[in-house]
Amino acid sequence: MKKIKQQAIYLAVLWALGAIMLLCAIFTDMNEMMTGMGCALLFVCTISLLKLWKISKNPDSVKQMEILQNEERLVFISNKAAKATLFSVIAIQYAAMLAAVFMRYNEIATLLGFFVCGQLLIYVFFSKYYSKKY
Amino acid sequence: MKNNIAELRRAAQITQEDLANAVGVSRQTIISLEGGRYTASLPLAFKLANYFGQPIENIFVYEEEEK
Repeated sequence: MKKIKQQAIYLAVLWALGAIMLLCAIFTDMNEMMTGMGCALLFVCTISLLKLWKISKNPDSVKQMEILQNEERLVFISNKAAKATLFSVIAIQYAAMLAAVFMRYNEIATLLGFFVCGQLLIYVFFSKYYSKKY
Repeated sequence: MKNNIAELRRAAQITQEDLANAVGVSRQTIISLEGGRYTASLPLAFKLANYFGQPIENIFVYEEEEK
């Protein structure tokens, strides 16, 4: 139940953020991007909150949800997917950087180079941090 | 890492769903463990050992990788 409450609070914060964005868009100059993002946040969070409320009414669903949230295989899969995503993104950015260099888009190539280096540095930082922690 | 979970489960006459609920994982995890596609963590291995009342080495068989 604790996890469901945490998730509900998180969704409520996002819902409020969406409402603020929508209100800002309405009462200022109706920025289309703000309106779109606000509406999307409100819609998704409302549906998710309703789903969560429905689950919280059924103890079996709550138990099942808690099992799924702490499930070691799902955590393992999520970690694997995150790692694969990171290295894919770095590889794509690196390829794009090389393409930009060959096409003489120097500013874009420099920016992509910073992204690649930044991500690798963050990876090294967290590797060192976790190797000290564990 | 091989395991005897499927055999022990059948001997105990329980379903994958029952075993999953007893050790606090999803049925999909039990299916993956039985199929040898996923290796259980140490806490899960202990839970399974406690559930079947067997030592861990009777359930999980470590095999060194061929060089």
